[in-house]
This record gives sequence, structure tokens and C-alpha cells, in this order.
Amino acid sequence: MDIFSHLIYGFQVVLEPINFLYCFVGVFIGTLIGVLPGIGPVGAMSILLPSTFGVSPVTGVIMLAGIYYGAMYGGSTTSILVNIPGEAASVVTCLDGYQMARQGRAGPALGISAMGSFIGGTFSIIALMFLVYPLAEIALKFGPPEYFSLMCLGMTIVAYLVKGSLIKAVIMAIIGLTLGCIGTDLISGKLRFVFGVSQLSDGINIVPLAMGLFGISEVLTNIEKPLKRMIYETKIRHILPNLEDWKKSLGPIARGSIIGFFLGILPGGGSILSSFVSYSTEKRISKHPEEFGRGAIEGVAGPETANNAATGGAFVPLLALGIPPNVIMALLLGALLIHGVAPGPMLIIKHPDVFWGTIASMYVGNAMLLLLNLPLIGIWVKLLKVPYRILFPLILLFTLIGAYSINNSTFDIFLMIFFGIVGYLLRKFEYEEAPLLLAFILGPMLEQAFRQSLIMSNGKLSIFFVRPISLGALILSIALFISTGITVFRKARKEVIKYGQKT
Amino acid sequence: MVKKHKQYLSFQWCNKRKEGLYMSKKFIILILIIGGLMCLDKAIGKESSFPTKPIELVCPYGAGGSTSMGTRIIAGTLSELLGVPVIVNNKPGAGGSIGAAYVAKSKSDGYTLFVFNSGSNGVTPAIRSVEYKNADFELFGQYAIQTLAMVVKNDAPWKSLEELVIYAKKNPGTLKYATSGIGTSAHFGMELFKSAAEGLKIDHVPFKSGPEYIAALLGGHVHMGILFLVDIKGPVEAGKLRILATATEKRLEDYPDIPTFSELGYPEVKLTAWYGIAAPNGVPKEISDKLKDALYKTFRHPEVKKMLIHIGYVPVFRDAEQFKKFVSEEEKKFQKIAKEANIRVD
Repeated sequence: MDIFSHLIYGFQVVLEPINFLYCFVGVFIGTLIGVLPGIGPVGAMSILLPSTFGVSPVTGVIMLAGIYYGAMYGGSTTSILVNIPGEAASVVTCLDGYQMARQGRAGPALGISAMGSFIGGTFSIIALMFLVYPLAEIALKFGPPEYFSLMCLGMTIVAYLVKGSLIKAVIMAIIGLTLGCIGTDLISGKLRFVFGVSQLSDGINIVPLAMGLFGISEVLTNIEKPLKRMIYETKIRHILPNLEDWKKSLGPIARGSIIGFFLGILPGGGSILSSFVSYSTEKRISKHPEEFGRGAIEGVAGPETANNAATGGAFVPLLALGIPPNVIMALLLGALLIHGVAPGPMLIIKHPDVFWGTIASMYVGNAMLLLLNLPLIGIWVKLLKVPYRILFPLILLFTLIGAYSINNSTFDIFLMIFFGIVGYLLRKFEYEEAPLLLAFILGPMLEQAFRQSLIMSNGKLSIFFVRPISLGALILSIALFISTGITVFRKARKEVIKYGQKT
Repeated sequence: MVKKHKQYLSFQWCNKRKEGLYMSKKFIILILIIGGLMCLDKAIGKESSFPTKPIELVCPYGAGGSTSMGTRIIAGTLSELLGVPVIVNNKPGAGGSIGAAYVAKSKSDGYTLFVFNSGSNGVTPAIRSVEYKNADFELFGQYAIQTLAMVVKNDAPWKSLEELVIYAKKNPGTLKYATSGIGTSAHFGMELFKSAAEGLKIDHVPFKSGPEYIAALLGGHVHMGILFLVDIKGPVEAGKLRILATATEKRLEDYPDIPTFSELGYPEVKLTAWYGIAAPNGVPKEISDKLKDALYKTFRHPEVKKMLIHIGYVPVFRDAEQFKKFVSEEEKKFQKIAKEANIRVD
């Protein structure tokens, strides 16, 4: 019961007019930058950071947090409508969301991702509220060996992202791993594939890569065939998901909430990874895996829920340990520190208004986002009626600004254009980009964890098998690997037999 | 008739001209306004000279880090004092050398300023090839330092630095230390300590970021580290980490019971990170005087100091001369450590 009286206190904090206003401003800005392709929350948050110096710490954090989860809400919009991810975490949503839009079901796709985001977001706040301290302790048990085994598990996902040829997907994954090698080797300090270009010495940023492969290449392929778009613009059926959509989506939303929250706790690309994991989970357990990639609503509901649930998870290490798991959380940490509020185990005792105010503000903010986003769906769907010759220069403009804003570097713009052309060629030859991106995210983390573990064990590989969490993850990934292999083999055999019977 | 014809003609002309006249009237007004504004600008320019447009303050690290936070604190007050916006431009990459090279190549008109710090201008030039040297910058002054301390987990068996050294000598290769990467202050600090305590074999486990290695320390996956106080303050106060020694000149006010490395017999182990403001070399004297004046007022501003302390800095003021002398000593020190411990990024 105690926790509820605290929560009521938190709501009292949020409902103060200034906090309420800042919460709205936060989620509004968040939705905007989420919708604009390429422009991420980091830039907006760091520009608005000084505006929080003058207000109380809780007010500042409420606004900045609003930007963060607001961006995750808005990120799906352009993925669904124009096949361009608004946020790196919404890359997976393109796979089925855009297909739904092409079938005239943009409304239900947007609707289910708004509802899924709301449910995932709310779930993660509840979980955060009850489990923040025990979870933080568990998170600390994850050292390099555990990360390595988890990343191995993650690599098995590649198989589920495939629509066409598995061989091509593996090739793409290898290219992704190679791209991930670019930059300074963490352990030895050697520069790899840098060729004297100092901008490459920290590796390639994910935003220019993802925006190039998905955004620019999409625009390039679309301007080839301007008339084709007209066909699916006209037959937009209903705006909101129907009962059947809901039935299909409930399971993915529930699983996505859990996957997102727990992966969000881990440092690194928690929200991006969670959307990939959710997608592959849904495809794995679905009775109709062949529908994925062709407009399955489960493929939208799961990942969109997961990337929003991950935002709540990311608060666990920040609030409980004072450790920010990503750049966005580091900015929030800064906003608190500047007022002399240090997050960590003592936060809940020393500054209960900050702790409970932030948590309550996330309930309020999520509700605001739902109210803000549901009426917007109608407007977004109408956006499809905007002629592409007007739409595509705007898309290009925003992706260019977005790529520049990451490091304020023109190099990133050229990098994005380069990957745009690469992506265009890949599409022409029917290679899929998603496995490349996943391998690009996982590869460096996998390598880093592997080598750190080996330093820890003085070179003994046994370190991965003597630690229970690591062993469990490894066994699971081997099992998944074998079972996928068997499915692929059976499929191939069937086809061979079919072929044989034909001839 | 002729007259009439002329009139007719002129009427037509007039009509056309009228349009033209009308347009040109607008155009003339526009020119007058623009010209007036330009004169005004020049007049203001002549009266108060500098600054007349926004100033760019380049921070060579990313938006989430503490250097960027400190930069934004300085920018706020500096902008109030100078009366023009001071815009923070984060240009991260390659150990701060991308931002530093960008500033070194900028115009020295006083509109581009730089956060001159121990990373991009101390450690990085000592371990990688960079496209600038410290002589390319005109230093205005230093506003803060950050201190480092050695921590172990609260349940570690070593209660003092001495016990740790004895254990490490008995069991070479079993202990591991964490850093946030090659060539960071944490890395330099530990290498400094290892060479001071002759023959210690403690392996280096680099992590990608500060938060990652603090998590590794708290989880007991690595044994120790020499870290920025700001990063460990929370866990230390909560009793999760224990400080064994500080790498400072004197004992810290917040932890009067904790000895410094020099008290324990390692006088070489002194390391701080420092932060100042500089501009590309060759700023005209009246502009640099004006900037210095505003900067020193900012550095000494009580509100600025308070905010800097909150984000883990120790406000330590050095004027242009003192800072220049200090930096040249530090440069040599970093080069020596890098050479002895063979730390290179290439």
C-alpha cells in the first residue's frame, strides 16, 4: 500500500501546473522529432538542457523524459507511411508496417503501434516502480561473459529477419559485422579500416547508416516509379484497428512489453535490440510465419510495444544505481546533477519528489501521447495523399539535418548519401538491409564482450560455461540455431522433392 | 495631335513605367532599409566593436558527457555578459581531436572559442597523430579540474592500498582494472600507479564508456579502477565502492580520512583532468581582452561555480599566463606516461 501513497504523492507533483505544462511540452517535442526521420532525441534534449537549469530538477527531468519516450511513440509513423524509420528503433516496423500501408491499412498499423506503445510504456512504468532496486542488482550480475552469450543469442535473430534468400541474408550480416569493425579497436587501440580518415576513427554512427540504407534508398527507388504510389493511396479503409487486429496483437503486445522492458535495462542499444528481438520472437512462435514481411500486424504491434517498454527499462540503472545505460539517460543524469541531485540508491530517500514525480509523469505523459497520437492518425494517413514530388524533398531534407545533427559533422551526411546509394543497389539486387543493421549493432558488442571476458579469465574459454547466466544463454542459442537449421533443411528438402516430382 | 499622340504614348509608357516605378519604389525602400540596417550595424560595430554576432563555443566531446555539461554552464553566463548568444557546438570524435582540429583551422576573430582540456590537448596528442598542436591556440584561462581516486568494491578483501599492493605482488595476473578505454585518464592513472609500484601485474580491461565500467566494478567483474570522483560519488556514498587513495595534491575536503597516493609513498601518482577556454591563435588584442574579462567574470561567478561543483568539477581558476605554464608541464607529463606505458592509438 505504501507504494501507492508514494505514487499519489508523485501525481501531486506532476499535476502542479508547471510540471504538467513541461510534461506536455516534452511529449509534444518528442512526438515531433520522432516523426521527423533522422532527427533523434539527443540533439533536441541537449539543446533544451539549459532551459532546465532555471526550473526545479523534477520539472526538467519530466520534460526531458517526455522527449525521450515521445520520440519512441512518433518513430513508427514514417516507418509505416513511407518506409523510412523515424528513429533507429523503428527500423523493424518498416518490414510489416509499410506493407500494411500499401494494403490500405496504414490506419490500423498506426493505431496498433500507438496503443501498443501506450500499453508497453505503461507496463514498463509499473515494472519500474515495483522492481527498480531488485532489477538493478540483477543487472549488475551481467558482466562481459554474460553479454557475450546474450549477443550470440541475438545473432540467431538474423534468420528471422529474412524474407527471401537465407544466403543473401547471411552475406548482409557479414557485411554488417565488417562495417562494425571500422574504428578504433577497443582493446588494443589499433585503428581498423580507417584509412587515415579521422572521422572514421570512432566507427560509423548508426543513424547515417540506417537512414541511408532505409531512408535515402527508399526515396531513390520510389522516384523511379512515381505513379505506382497512387494505387494504394486511394483505398484507405478504416482508421483504427478492428477486433481481429486486436486479437492478433494482444499476444505480441504482451510479449513485447516484457522483452522491451528487460532489454532496455541493459546498456547499449536496448531499445533498438528489443524491437528486433520482439519481431523475431513473434515470427518464431507465429502459426503463419510466411505472413511476416507481407503486412502482418503482429510484426508492427510487437516491436513498437517493445521499443517503448525499453524506455522504462532504461530508467532502472539510472534511478537505482546512478548509471546511465545510454546517451539519452546520460543527459537526464546531467539535468539532475546540475541541481545537486545525484541519482543512485539514495535518490528515493533524499529526493522522493524527483523519484516519484518522474515515475508519475511517465503515466501522465503516456496518456497524453495516446490522446495526442490517436487524432493525428487521420492526419498522417492523409499525408499519403501529398504528391510524392513534394514529400520526397522534405524527407531528404530532414534526413540530411538528422545525419548532420548527430555529431555536427558534414562527413556523416556524405556517409549517409553513400549508404543510400549502397542501399539502392542492394534493393535492386534483392538483398535485405535489416540483417546488415542487426549485425552492425551486435557485432561490436559481441567482440568487445568476448575479448573482455578473455582478459578476465587470462585466456580461458571456460569462463563462458562456468557462469550460469552465460551458460543458459549459450545453450538456448545453440538450440535455436539447430532448430532453425532443421526448418531450413526441411524446407529445402521439400522443394527439392517438389522439383524432382515436376521433372 | 502629335501632342495627343505623345500623351497617348507617354500614357502607355507611364502605365508601364508606373508598374516599373511602383516596383522600383518598393525596391528602393528595401534597399534603403537594408542599407540603413547595414549602416546601423557598422555604427554599432564602430562603437562597441565586439561582439556583434553569436559566438560559437566548440566542445570536442558528445552531448551526454560531463565536458558538454560544463560547457553549457559556461556558455549560459558568458552569453549574458557579452550580450550575444554563445552557441555550444559539440564536435566529438577521435579523442577530441576532431573538434580541436576544427577550431585550430577556424578564423581567429574571437567568434570561435574552444574548450581546451586535458583530453584533446593533453592525452590525445600524446597517443595519436593529430592535425594541430597546442601552440595553435591562444589560452584564455582555466575554469575547473576533475579529480581521480582509486576504488575497489565494498566487499573486496583489501582495506588499504598497501594490502592491495601486497596481494597483487603475490598473485601476479589475477587482478584486473577497468577503464573507459585506451588513453583515458583512468588508463593513464593506473599505468602511472603500476610503474610507481614497480612490478605490479594488473591487467587492463577497457570498456566503451564510464557507466559500463562502473557497472562492471559494482558487479565484481573487475577489481579496481582509478576513476573520476564524479562517477563514483553516488556508489561511494551508498557504501557500494570504497576509495583507497586519491590522485590529488592534498586530501579531498569531502573525504578527509582518505590518504593521497603521495602520502602512501607514490608521489608520482598525481593526475587531474583540466578544462579551460581558448581560441585559435591570433585574436586581436582588444577582442581577446574583452573575452578574457567576460570569461574571468564567468569563471568566478558564484552560480556558475555552484553548478560546476554539482556536476563533479572542482572550480580551480588559472589566468592565461598560469594556464599556459601549467599546460606545458602537463603536456610533458602525459607524453612521458604514454611513452613509458607504451599507450598508442594508431
